[in-house]
Amino acid sequence: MGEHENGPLVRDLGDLGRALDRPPSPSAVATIVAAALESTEKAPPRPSRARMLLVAAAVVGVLALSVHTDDMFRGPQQDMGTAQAPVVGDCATWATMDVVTRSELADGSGWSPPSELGPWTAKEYFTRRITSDKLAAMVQYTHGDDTLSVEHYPPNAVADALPMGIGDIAVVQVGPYAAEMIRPSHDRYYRVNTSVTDKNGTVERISTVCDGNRLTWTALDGSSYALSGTIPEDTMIALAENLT
Amino acid sequence: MARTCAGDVSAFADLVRRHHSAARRLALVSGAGNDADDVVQEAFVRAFNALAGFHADAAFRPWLLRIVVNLTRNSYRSRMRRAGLVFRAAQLREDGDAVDPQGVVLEAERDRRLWAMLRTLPDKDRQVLGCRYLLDLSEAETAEVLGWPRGSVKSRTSRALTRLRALVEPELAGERLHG
Repeated sequence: MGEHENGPLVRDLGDLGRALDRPPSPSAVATIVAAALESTEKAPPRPSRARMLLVAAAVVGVLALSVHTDDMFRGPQQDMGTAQAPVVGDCATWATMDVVTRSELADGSGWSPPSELGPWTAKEYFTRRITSDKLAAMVQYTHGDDTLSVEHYPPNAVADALPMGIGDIAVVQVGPYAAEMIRPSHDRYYRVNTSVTDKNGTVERISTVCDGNRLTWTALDGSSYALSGTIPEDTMIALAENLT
Repeated sequence: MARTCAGDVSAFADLVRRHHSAARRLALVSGAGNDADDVVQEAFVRAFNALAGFHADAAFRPWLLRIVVNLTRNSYRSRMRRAGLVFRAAQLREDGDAVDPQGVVLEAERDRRLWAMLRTLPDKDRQVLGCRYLLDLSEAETAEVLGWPRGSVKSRTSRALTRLRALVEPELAGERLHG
């Protein structure tokens, strides 16, 4: 059969390929990146000689380049008190998460999130088992096209004091609590690790990958919260106060 | 690519954005069905973990897509094992992929029918047509992705097109009759 006879079919297949060609959602990208990061922490890949040389080169002065999974986050943008970064995204993903009902979330995590938060409506509930006896929980709220995520971590969960790759951190007040507003550096992801110790003393760590502002605080009972979304900081703080 | 090899996560995110669609299309056409998103995620994770051994001058895309093909094969076998019954294989092929709620939402009726017919072809036919025409890979890239000799890519492509054409033509004839 001559190629010309298949010409129309080949064109149709090309059209089909273009019809199937869709960019991944930001959430899909962040999930994959978080999964990749967590996988390296479980089984760290042995760095190649070339990679080690690159890291060494970076250490001696190529500060503008990102050269290592961890080191890349500690770039020159990490100076405190820089201008507020644009609100571009959120932290609405872990590497793995289970879709649950509101009651399952409450039973598992001990946290009863509001189904309405100002004009925001809870859309999805998720949990993530961190240790055999502890769950992290997340609720995603929507308002029009905007999304807002609230993470809840059990008492004694410890997040990185200085997450890698951020733009800056500002101390703000959320009701009675001192809170931190973490801002991204422009057009870059940053990673927040949260560690939890189980009843046997084993420390487990989960990562979330963010590309937007993240407001975190710890409540009196030791539970910690993180709120992120495509909203202005003032609004974020006001919403956080409704959660306390 | 060099930045990603060095572990720059933002650069890795760029790679994900750039190659995700091709990886997902290949997973779907290779038969991953509802597992396509999991297959793609796992492929990227494995690629990330293997970056240290990756030759920066080699093309990332064929390398990633080869991982996708292998994972899809394993995913398909795994689904078969989970199904437990060999005779359900054909049914899974038809039903599992036909449901495809996460996968294929095609607006054009012509695309939907072509996709349905493509899915009825044997695995290797779907893979080679997927690489060559859905992803627009060259014969050399397709050979690298599928791990076949280049001559096999050429001959298998020709046979697969013939098979698909045999499925498509009666439908087109029907369209002419009813049109």
